[in-house]
Amino acid sequence: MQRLLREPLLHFFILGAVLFGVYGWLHRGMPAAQNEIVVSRGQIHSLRVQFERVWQRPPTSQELQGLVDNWVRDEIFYREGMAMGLDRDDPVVRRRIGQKMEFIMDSAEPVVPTTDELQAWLDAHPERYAVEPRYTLRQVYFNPVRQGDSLETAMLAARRSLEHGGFAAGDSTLLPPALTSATADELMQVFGPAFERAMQGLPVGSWQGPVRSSYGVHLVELSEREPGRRATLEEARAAVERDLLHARREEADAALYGRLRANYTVHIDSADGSDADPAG
Amino acid sequence: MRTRILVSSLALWTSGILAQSLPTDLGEIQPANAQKFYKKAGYSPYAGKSYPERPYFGDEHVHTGWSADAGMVGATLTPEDAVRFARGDEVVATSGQPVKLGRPLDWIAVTDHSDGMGTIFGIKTGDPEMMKDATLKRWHDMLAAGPEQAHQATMELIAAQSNKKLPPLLMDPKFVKSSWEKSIAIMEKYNEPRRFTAFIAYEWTSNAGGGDNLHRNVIYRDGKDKADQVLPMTTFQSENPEDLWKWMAAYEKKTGGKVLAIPHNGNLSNGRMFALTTYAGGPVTREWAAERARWEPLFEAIQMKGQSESHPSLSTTDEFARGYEIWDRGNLILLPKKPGMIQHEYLREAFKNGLKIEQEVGANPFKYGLAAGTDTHNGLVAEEEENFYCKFPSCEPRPDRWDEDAMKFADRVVKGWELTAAGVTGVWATANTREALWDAMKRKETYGTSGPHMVVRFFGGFDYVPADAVNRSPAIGGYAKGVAMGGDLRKAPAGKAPSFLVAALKDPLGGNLDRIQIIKGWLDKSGKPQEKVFNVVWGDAERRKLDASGKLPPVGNTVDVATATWTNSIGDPELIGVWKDPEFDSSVKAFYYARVLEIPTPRWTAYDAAYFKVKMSSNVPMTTQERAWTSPIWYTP
Repeated sequence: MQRLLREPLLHFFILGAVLFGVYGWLHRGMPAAQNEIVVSRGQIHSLRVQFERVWQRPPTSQELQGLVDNWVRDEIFYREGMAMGLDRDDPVVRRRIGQKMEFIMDSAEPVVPTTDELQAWLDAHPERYAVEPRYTLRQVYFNPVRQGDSLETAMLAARRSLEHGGFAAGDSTLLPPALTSATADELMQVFGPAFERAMQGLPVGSWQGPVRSSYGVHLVELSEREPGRRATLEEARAAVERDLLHARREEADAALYGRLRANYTVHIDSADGSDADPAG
Repeated sequence: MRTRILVSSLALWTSGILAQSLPTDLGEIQPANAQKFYKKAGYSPYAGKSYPERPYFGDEHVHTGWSADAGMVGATLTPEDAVRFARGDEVVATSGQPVKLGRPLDWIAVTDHSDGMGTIFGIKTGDPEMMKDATLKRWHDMLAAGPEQAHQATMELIAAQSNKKLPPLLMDPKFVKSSWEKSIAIMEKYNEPRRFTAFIAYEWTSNAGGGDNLHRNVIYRDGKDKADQVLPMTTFQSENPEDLWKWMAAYEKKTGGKVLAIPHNGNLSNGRMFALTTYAGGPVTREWAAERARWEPLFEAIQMKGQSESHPSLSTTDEFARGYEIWDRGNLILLPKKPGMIQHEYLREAFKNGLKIEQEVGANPFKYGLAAGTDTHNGLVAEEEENFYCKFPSCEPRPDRWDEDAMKFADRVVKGWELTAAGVTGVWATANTREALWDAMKRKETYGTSGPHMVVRFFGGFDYVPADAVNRSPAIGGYAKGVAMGGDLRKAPAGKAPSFLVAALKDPLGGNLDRIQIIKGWLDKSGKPQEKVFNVVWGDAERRKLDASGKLPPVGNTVDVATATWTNSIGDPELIGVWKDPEFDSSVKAFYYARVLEIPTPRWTAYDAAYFKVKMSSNVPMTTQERAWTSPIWYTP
């Protein structure tokens, strides 16, 4: 008995009975709801197709019967539930219907922008499509903790050796000793922001340093710095078109919402209970 | 003069390369050097460069307002917003606050719950059958005629709908486009090979028994051409993971494509995620175990709802399993746990039990690699401690969020401060493309972190020597002498024990490293699973020594909670070492994986307390030790 009382199905039936009681009372004296359900051939076809698209095979006749029975069951609960107003004040249903509206608002085929329009967008937002500066460099790493007081002498000796075409090991590290045509962003990801900033102004073609990174200090030979520049439309076309369409759609959605909103007078109570002016 | 400088510096540059015959790890490989480290030096100087040079960081678990449960809690951001945010764009959060990532991710998998939300699409594509209807034809023309007309058409459509005067053809299921197809179209638009990868993905959300978390993220290797052909599996069809595997097999058979699944939140499964039986309670068979291992190569070990890597009641001697982002009060609806459940919820225990099952039936169902994600439900992968936008719109940054109920079922509550700002998956792929990333996930060359973008290498073999740790590129020796994380070692050569080359580079924006540990699990002679944690290499080694039991003194703590700051004056920026198993028994099955720990840094709660000037109660942790776990390497005699 204890176990039975904890059974969720029992709770469901009790709750159901109560709700139906309430429903019957609310609808007393009203004519019976329309109680015909037609499972059309189209509906059966749709159930079959849905099944096939998930499982990659047609349902067996037993499975199809199950799908139809479930559909009827859902339909009955759906109708009864709607009649009882169960869709009201349900945040899931509310949000879902709202989303369907957003989907419908979004159903307009985007007009392909002209080259002039794309160029205008690019000119208005050059920073978004800028071609990043690129750096080609070699570096030798020194760990200040490991070096301690000898850091300065070690770096000086290493620099002298490097400047004469020699070799300097520095401290062992997982950091790459050389990068070829790395973007500013890659430099930032590998060495950290301070190092990337230092590269912006570092003289090209000779060993320089110490340069700070997130890991310690470095001697760096920047052999090439390709400056950043504005992208041409040809280079950025796909991204420009995507972003322009995105912006247009957001604008269109806002405008459409504005037009729907204009059909309503909205009164919003102030949060503390005092009256507020109508909001529109 | 100018010419001479150029010539001499060029000479220096080339001679420097020759003199400095150091292969690299994260950057370019000099092909001439790479060759001699490879077992087989082929003719092509570029053939050696096929191994992954850098990890790509991303999130395999993101929900947007299109997930019904996210929509319910008010999330309005779309998959498109989520992808733009992950790429580094600034977006406006549901709560109206502008937000941007500290640094962009390399890839994302938006995993909204699958279902068949429909919308009308035949009109805009001008379907011939639809165009026979005068009204639909007129709307089609208006939609194509610019924004103003398109508005008008949409308004008419809405009016027709409300007056029940919608042309019947419009509601024919064959003209209904699902949110699934829309989501795919968005991912196609933002997927930029070698720059940013947007996976096609969904979450199959099985809440067995009404709240036992058996969720799986399904990640596609494929593009629209294949993914569009098959509808995702939903839990309306089945809550049994075995049916998901069947669905995956059917998808691959039909399309020739490839999919994999990533389960998560064992910690909220009330003993079911790694149960030692099938879903229906039957005995585990070899086929069942092999199927599970085939379709589920990775497990998500940490996310905003806590970690499922280890539990202090199971790993009793592991000091770092204690008090770390533990959610162990119940399942997804906080239904309390019964004794015996926890041991089937955590990954390390599953690794151990997997060895046992393999012993019994001949296949290991729990051969998981490591992943981590956010499971954010507001479309924002903002898991950085200093930029934490939380899981739900309701807990986006606000002064009181720490003290509010994040989850509440009857009197069972999880507090806001308990949410975890995590996590990220590092993938050792050869390129940032769907195919390369997916292949790396499939071979488990991955690691999960609680958020930091640390670089972690882990190799196992029988021939690593300490000198391999001095090489500037452990990867070359690593790949040549053994297997990478996620791999298998078989039959030890006589008299040899496995050795491991492990290395970590701290996140350039994060805290220094405290230590690297190797976690070993094995079956003892009586067939009982065992585990042990070994300290392998650590920061501040000049002042920190192992005691007789192998324990290491704590690294210290520089966090100033009041200002939510710390200094990298303790720990090391990088660690590398070679470790040989001192207790190896070549006759028993074992697994090994690495754990990297950062020095203590402020937890998101400390940033909140400092920014909002609030005082939190004393049980709220203010610091954390961020960490990474690699996929294991398994030893099979």
